[in-house]
Amino acid sequence: MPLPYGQGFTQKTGGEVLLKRLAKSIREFKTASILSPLFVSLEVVFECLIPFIIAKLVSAIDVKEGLTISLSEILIYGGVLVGISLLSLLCGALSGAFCAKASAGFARNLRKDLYYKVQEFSFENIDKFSTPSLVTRMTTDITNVQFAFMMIIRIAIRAPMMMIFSLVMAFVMNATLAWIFVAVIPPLALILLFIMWKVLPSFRRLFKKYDALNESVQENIAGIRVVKSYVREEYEKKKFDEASENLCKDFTRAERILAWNNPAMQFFFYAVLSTVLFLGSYLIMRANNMELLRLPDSAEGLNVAVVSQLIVYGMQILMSLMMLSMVFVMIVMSIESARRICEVLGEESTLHNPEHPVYEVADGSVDFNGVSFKYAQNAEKNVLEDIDLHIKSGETIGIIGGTGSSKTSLVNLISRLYDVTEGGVSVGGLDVREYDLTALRNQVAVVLQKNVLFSGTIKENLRWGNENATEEEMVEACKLAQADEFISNFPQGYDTYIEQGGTNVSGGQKQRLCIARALLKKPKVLILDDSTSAVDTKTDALIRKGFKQFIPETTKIIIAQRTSSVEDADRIIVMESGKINGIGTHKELLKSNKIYAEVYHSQNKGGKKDEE
Amino acid sequence: MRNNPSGKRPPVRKGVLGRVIKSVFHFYPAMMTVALLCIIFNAVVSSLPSIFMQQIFAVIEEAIKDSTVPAASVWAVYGGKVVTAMCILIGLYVLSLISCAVYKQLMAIITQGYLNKMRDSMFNGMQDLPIRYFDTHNHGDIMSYYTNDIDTLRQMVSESMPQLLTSAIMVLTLFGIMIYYSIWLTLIVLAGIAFIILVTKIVGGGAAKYFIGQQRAVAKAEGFIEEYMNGQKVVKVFCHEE
Repeated sequence: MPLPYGQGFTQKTGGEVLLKRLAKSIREFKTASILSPLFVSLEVVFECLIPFIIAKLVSAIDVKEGLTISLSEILIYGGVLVGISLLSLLCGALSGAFCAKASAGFARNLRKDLYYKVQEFSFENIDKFSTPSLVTRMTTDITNVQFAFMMIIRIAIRAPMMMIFSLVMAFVMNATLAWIFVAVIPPLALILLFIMWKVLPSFRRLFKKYDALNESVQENIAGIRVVKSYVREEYEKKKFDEASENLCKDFTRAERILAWNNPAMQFFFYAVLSTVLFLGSYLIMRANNMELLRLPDSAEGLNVAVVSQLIVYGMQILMSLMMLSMVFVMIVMSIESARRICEVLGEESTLHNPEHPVYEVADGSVDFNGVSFKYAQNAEKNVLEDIDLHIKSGETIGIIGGTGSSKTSLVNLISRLYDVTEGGVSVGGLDVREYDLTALRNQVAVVLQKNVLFSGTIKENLRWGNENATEEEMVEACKLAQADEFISNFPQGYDTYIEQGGTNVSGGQKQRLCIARALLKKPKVLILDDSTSAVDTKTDALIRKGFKQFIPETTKIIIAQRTSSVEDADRIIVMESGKINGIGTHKELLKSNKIYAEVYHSQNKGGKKDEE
Repeated sequence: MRNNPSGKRPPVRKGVLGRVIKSVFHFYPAMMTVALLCIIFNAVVSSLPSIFMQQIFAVIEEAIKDSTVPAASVWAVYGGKVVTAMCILIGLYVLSLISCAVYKQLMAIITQGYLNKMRDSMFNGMQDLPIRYFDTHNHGDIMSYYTNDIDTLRQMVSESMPQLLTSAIMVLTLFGIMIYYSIWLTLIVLAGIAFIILVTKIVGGGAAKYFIGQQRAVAKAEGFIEEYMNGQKVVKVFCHEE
């Protein structure tokens, strides 16, 4: 029963809390996370020195033209240049390596933390997030955060460093021209920010729409049988075309705003280039004393070489500004992911083990004493209302009721998948909250309505019930669940590989395997939640007969849609909107209970059994 | 990048780029032609400034060495040449800016429109497929056509294609300019480029192996997460958390 998204965790987590919580997952990769920005800074410093030295070299050649410029001097300059380039390369590579190590390690830790956290979750916690949302958080969201982390410890350091150092070097070379760069930074930053500010919210909205479109496709694929059998293809096509068209218009609008980014950038490139070029030539030619220019370290220090290298610095400054705006966007985009991850990490499990847990379950008796239950604290209506029910050890109980009559909710309380809101549930005479959770769940086996087999062999799947189960035990359990026959017919028998989601076995076969898996626990209470719905009535009857014969002392609670599945139970409980409508044997209920009689007769019209 | 361990999806056929370009032209013949011309023009103009820079520098050199002109009136004599060159340069810049803005806007429209058309035809085609197709194909795989593949297509049409064209033209133009100035220096640069390509190939080839491995590992981890999150309730019931 998934709750509407957002309920229960509406409080917005502050940025600081977000960072602190995520930073915890860096752990052993702290050194790498610090070394990466350190080396990237060094890389920038070396890189920024290069144009400066080139300018010196060219000036030296320039000035000494006509005089004799020694080859050895050029070689020294060249050597220094190569050396600095190599140092810059080395630092860059080291930074890259540390960055990769840190971010991959961080993502691994974070994923592990998240997974462990989910393992602690109760059913209530899982319901709150819903399974697909948990999957997204552990895959896409982690990747996004990893990417942002990579950006932060590398590019987000590199770009501003580059800007500052280039600016410093530009001022060292020629202060007058360097002011052009200073003048250009604010307007460009403003324009870039403006575009981001316009585009970011609409992109975030768009991505949600986009997800919705993809979800509708997924729904369509999953329900393709329905679409086909009702011949709704044309309708679906039209619906999709409209949604896609709509999305296209919105995306185009946003993309067109974003498309101004590039021309804006180019405009400033050109502006800087032209101004530096023009002003540079002007300043050189208007220099009061032309003679000064012939000295390498003139007061102005301005010459052609300097101008051309200043342009290089200008480009570097603009490029890093562009980088910075890109990094900014990516980080903003990943905040949502970070928030979604932190929501899971900050979630407290709603079920706790008692301080002095009991490990032994005495017998299979189950008692409901004045139990009321609702899924969320703030839900208005109770799902179960004032239930009093006493089941003796070894009894077979059938539960019948329409959809939404809270049959599943009732049995889920027995193995403490949820905690009661009021009253108490006891197993073996002791309140379920007194038991160790693992001990309780090992003694109360539930075959869930929505059951899952995991990828692996049949044997591996069965061992979930009991790790140390012998081959004989497995065969025995499968015989009881009427699964042995079809398993033996598989070419590889018990070693047959089950694909992810159990797609290579039929629904009925899957259900029987799930029952066998639960039986291997040798539980004191066995709960079958509509677990034979895809099994034919004959096999269904055989399974129940086996239960009666081979596990008489186990309490069996069977939820079913078909009255035939519960007919021979000791007692049958009829549920109706969260309350017990009637209890009795098949014969008693047929006479006294209107709902039961109705269901029975509708399923057995004209003496013919209505197979589902 | 999408890894596919099951190998069910058809391998990428050669000439896909050509097909994409063809179909984009098919949908937007006029717009795409204009966009293409703008891209080419922008690329050529982008490589020209270095020529003008060189010219202006030449003027400066000349001015400095011209000792017949007194220092105070150097600008008056040579300034005119600089201004002329600057004017041509700025004119080219303006044209380049316009063409850049135009093609960026056009590409935004074309890309989204093209994606829309692709999505529609894909969905329409899908609706007409027999149910057997859905039974025999992993739903996740079909979904990834709509998510991953469409996203990649967007990148290809809006970024890779213009970028490829721009780079190619710039390389050609700059190469021409280089040869014009000095064949020997061009050869040195070419040798450097050959060296870079060689290094990239060695490093990149090694890295590619790891990248593919990484993609595999990621796909495996995601598969694991998906499976166990879906079965989380069963995990709980069987106390299989460890």
